[in-house]
Amino acid sequence: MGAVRKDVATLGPGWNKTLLNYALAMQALDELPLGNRNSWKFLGAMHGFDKGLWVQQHLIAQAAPVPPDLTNDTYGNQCQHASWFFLSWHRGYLHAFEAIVAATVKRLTGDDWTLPYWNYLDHDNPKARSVPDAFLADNLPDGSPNPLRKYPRRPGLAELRPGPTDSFSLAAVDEDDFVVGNHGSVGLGGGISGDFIQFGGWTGQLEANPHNTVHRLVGGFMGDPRLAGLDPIFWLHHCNIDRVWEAWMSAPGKTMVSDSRWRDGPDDRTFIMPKVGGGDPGMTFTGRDTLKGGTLHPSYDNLTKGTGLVIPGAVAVARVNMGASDQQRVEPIGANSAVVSVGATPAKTQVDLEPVATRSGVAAMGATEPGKEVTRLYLALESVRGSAPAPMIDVYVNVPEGDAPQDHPELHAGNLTLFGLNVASQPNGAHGGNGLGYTLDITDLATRLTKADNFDPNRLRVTLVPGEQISDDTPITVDKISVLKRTGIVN
Amino acid sequence: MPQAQLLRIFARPPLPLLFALAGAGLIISAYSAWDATLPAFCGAGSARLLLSFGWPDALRLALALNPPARLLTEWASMLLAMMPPLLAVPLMHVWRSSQPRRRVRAITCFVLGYGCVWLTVGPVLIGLALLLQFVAGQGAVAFAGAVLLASLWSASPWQRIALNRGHRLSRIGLFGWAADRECLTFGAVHAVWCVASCWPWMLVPLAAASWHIPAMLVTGAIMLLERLGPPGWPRWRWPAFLALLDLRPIRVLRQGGVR
Repeated sequence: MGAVRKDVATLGPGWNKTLLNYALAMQALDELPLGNRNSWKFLGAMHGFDKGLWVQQHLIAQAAPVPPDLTNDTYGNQCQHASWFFLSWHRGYLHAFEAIVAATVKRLTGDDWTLPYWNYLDHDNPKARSVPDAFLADNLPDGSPNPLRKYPRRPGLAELRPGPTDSFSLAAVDEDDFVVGNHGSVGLGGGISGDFIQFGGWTGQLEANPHNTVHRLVGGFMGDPRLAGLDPIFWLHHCNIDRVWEAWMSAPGKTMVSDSRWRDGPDDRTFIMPKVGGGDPGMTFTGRDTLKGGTLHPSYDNLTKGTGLVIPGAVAVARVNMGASDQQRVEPIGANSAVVSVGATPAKTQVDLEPVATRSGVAAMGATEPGKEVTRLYLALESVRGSAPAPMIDVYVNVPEGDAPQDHPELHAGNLTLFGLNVASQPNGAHGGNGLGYTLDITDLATRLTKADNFDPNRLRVTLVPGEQISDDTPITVDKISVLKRTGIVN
Repeated sequence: MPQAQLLRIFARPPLPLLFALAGAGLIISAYSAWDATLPAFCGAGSARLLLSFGWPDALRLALALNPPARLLTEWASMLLAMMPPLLAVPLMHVWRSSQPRRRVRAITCFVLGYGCVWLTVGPVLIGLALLLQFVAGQGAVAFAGAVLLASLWSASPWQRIALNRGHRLSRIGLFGWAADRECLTFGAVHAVWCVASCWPWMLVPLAAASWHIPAMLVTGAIMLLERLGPPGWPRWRWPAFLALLDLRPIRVLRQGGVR
């Protein structure tokens, strides 16, 4: 494209030209039939498609034929989550979408158009979390219905309103490595999935938060991966996530993955996007194409505001650098003893720790001297399953017996939005129903607990507190809760 | 280059080791093939005996000539020749979910659970192969019947369900007997779905008489393709072996940790 993507907050209030053109293009694209590869619904179905659900939501008729493109392992159901392809696939998706909308805007109005981003974590903007007005207005300036609010969101949504424990932040960018460990259970980018996987095993830090959190906070179609791509706010959200990734790659001390399986993959099913006009062949791409110098590499007007990163030339990094990604080790040093089920009330479990490994891990957590061993500790939730699309849980450790976890914010290990849990848990789905995996960095918490003499190297008590979408009727299960020790050498 | 990709994946751990184990099982089976009890017991000879003498006497005679212990040993070597590559994904899961110092123990427990189920099922499948011979009358007809039955099963939604369940990974603990028990249980449960998905294919080499070894090779390859294919919606479909060049098996291997 070559055009520079800008913060939607800087484009002017209300119906600025960019958003008005976006609405006009969306309206035109939404009138095209599902079988048209440039139609709004086809673009949404590339993220996720479920005929039954789409019929139920009155998006298509029961008798309507489903285009083969959506069911023959080419264009349909491509979204990549909980794997290291999350960021690269969505970058290609944004590129194709932006080109199609820009071409439509050009045809309709003669204007150039570039996808803006929603900079909801820009602390310099007091209204950063507000949904841009154009997405809330009932009508277009000409009085016709506003297509940008056509698809449902959380009732009354006007701004992102995280709860008191919601981890809605940019903490993810403190991570220095895109992927670490054999599983890829730790890192910014997501687990090593090898090849094409719509819902892989391990969720990367940036995907977990703020990506998943925003999907839940917007709610409605945005809360379900099979519908999310239909909400026009989806694209501004993902544009911002893409920008944070770009900022992260541009910051000093960050290590992007160099593995050929990521750069040239996946090779069992090709990522493919429609070109403007939708003709064959479509645009195929790999991870390599999304990096600097690649054909899908985007430009942003600003990589510092609302990214949590200082670029370029900054020397200091938020954490001690732990050395080359492939030289770091991630190993389990503790686990609970049974599957945990969380319904309407909090569930408790005890993670038994291997005391020698734990003591050495705790002792090396604060290392800063170059050449010395340094560790970080993570709480891992493995094979989380459930039937809700984006449930939320809070995780606490070592809450005193009889106390309410909410009374101990100092023991809060993290907050997770399990976006796509319904899809990842389907026994006959592409993932075999193995659910999703998450890791929470508890290094700082463990340090605090150690200082407060509340860290037993033999055990950790974990409490899972249900949030929205979790109840006795829609519980979640966690196959295993473990403590992972990540070890590296101070660089 | 599907073949090149497949070869690259098959060269990654633990598959070379698993193929080597399968090769050892194949050699053991081939070494004893000249007087192999199992295919002979399940073959047309036994069927003729059954037809000539009637069930009770013929079965007593067949068992006297083919001791159960030997039948079971040959069944075990057949399993060794056919099953190891199918276990790449669950074995990687057990390996990576366990503490480094407990990994061999964890793998042993998984294999024990898996093997016990298959050894228990062995006599039933041998009996089924014998029944097939009895019903078919001729060896070639029995073999064709086994292939047809297996192909039908491979096309059915029920096999798809079993294959899907075979992709399910269980929790593996870190400490003590509880972790051992979880490995054993995972192995046994995985074996149950393994049996459910490929039991008719195991009848094919049993019904192949003197073609026992080549039939094991081909059947093993088909089962590998079926097992490593990605999960899918249960419905009637073409059997997976008709898409021998399908690359989807690679995907499941990699997702399962064979990268």
